[in-house]
Amino acid sequence: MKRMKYELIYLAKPLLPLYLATLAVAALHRLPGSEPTGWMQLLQGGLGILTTILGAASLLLTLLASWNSFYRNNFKPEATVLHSLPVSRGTLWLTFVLPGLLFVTLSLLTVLAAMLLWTPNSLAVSLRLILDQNPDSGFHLIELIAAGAWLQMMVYWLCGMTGMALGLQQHGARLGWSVLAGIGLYLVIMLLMVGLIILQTGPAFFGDESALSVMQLQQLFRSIAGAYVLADLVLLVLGQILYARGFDLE
Amino acid sequence: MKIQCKNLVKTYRQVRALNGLTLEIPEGAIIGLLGKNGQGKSTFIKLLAGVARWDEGELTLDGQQPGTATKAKVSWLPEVCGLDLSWSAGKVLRFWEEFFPDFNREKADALMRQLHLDPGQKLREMSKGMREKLQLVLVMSRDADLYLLDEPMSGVDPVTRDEILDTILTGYRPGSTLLLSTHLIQDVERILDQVIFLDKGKAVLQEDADALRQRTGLSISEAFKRSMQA
Amino acid sequence: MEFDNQRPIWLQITEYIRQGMIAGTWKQGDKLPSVREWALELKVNPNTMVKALAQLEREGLIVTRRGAGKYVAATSSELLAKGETEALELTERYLTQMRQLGCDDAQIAALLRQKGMKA
Repeated sequence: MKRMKYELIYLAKPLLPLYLATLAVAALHRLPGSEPTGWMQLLQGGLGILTTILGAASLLLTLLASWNSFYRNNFKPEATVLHSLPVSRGTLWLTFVLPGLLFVTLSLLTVLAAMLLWTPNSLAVSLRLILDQNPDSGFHLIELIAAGAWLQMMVYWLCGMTGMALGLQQHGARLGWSVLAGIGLYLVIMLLMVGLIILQTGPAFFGDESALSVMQLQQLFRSIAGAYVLADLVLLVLGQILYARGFDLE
Repeated sequence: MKIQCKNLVKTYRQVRALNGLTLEIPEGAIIGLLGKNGQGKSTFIKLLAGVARWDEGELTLDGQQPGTATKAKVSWLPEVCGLDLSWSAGKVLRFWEEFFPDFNREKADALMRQLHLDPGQKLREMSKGMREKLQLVLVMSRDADLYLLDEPMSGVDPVTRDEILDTILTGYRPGSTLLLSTHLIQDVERILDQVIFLDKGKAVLQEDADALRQRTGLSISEAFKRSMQA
Repeated sequence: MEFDNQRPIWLQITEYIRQGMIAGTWKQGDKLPSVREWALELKVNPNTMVKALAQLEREGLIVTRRGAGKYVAATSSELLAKGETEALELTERYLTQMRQLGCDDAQIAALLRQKGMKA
């Protein structure tokens, strides 16, 4: 577990400044006020674009940084250091997974906070427009969307990690196999999700939108969220088993 | 640490790196694992280090299978350098101290001085030879029961080779086993207690070095060449 | 110390020490370096050093004093001289016998080389 400290520092160095930058730019975006004119309007527009870019970068780079750390320490010469340590592989898996989990969550919180900082008013307005009836059930929906976004990010991340755990079991072209495995896992999960949606929504999926009420939407999101949780857990456990099983250093 | 293996087989993509290796390696000796490249030396060392798994046969270290527990008593110098180049030598030493209970700080400092290595220097500022020496310091500074040195002398100039030999001798812990693999037999042969010739994944000879010299009247490297031609 | 990789190292170490004793580098009663130090000095495997010193101890040239280390034996110069005398006598005997068999110097030299002697 001591090793986890190094993982946290390795991820924190590039990511924390990025998150802070995203929040800072989002906050700056509010400065010109709600009805700017002239060059202030341009500035606000520019900051808006920048916030979006930084927000996307926060999410993407978190995934890449976590994957890269696992890749470097298991596929490259650095693996000789990691695997000579008197630490069980099960524990080593955790030293990658727990920090990764933390930072994926942090990246999402950053994006959420940035969105709230950016335009808290217009967000609520837009959502109310979508839902047109109940502000209360609207709030509930936001929570589900946020949770859903988290679970989706988790799936991306875990497909990458477990994909690599699978790739390590091979003897050659490990990176290639890992990418294939990661994509494969993701496709399987997406197919299962689509199947689940079709089952749940029935006729509405095939074009009859009026049949879908807010309650049904909530129901749908809940079951999808549940399926995602299951998928995430399966990926996590599968990755742990494969990694702990061992592989040959090349 | 006593090493015992029986009919060890390890296949990598249709190639049998180890093809029925049977050995009993005694404690308290410096052993030369000699053979041409690709004959199984590195594979055997990786199995002992617990970073690869064999396909058939048995392998035990002091009666245990290589794993997390043995890693605490085995000090492995791989062929490649896996150290983070952005770190300083001192940081790497502290890392080793943190993770290996048998790391001997005094020994490390003495070896660093002996080799004129600066703990404050960053690895990416060091020459290849200096990095090799640092890796050796890390490995030999542990009070391990088994030292595994995989080609410690390849890719460095003759002066560095001498320094490396000195460091091995200085760092060697009497009573422990030191297994050294190389294809540059001439440079190391005088420090070997016992030699093992590996050919095509099998041991074709295992003998006390001086006894081999006495028996054949040849140097180890000549004896090796002859046995490979036979 | 320079080594000939074709001959047992431990044997070469004993010769080196014996020469040193004859030359006076280590005199009777002198304290010898510890096994570890000496091995490092000569750049040899400490196990080989142990073997060499054990041989010299068997020959009586070195004594180990409990808790104090190894010393050059008090009788070392006599033993060395005796060793030299013995070697001389044996050689004398051998040459006499060979010549009685009818071998000349060239044949003796050839036979010696056949048996592994390098000279």
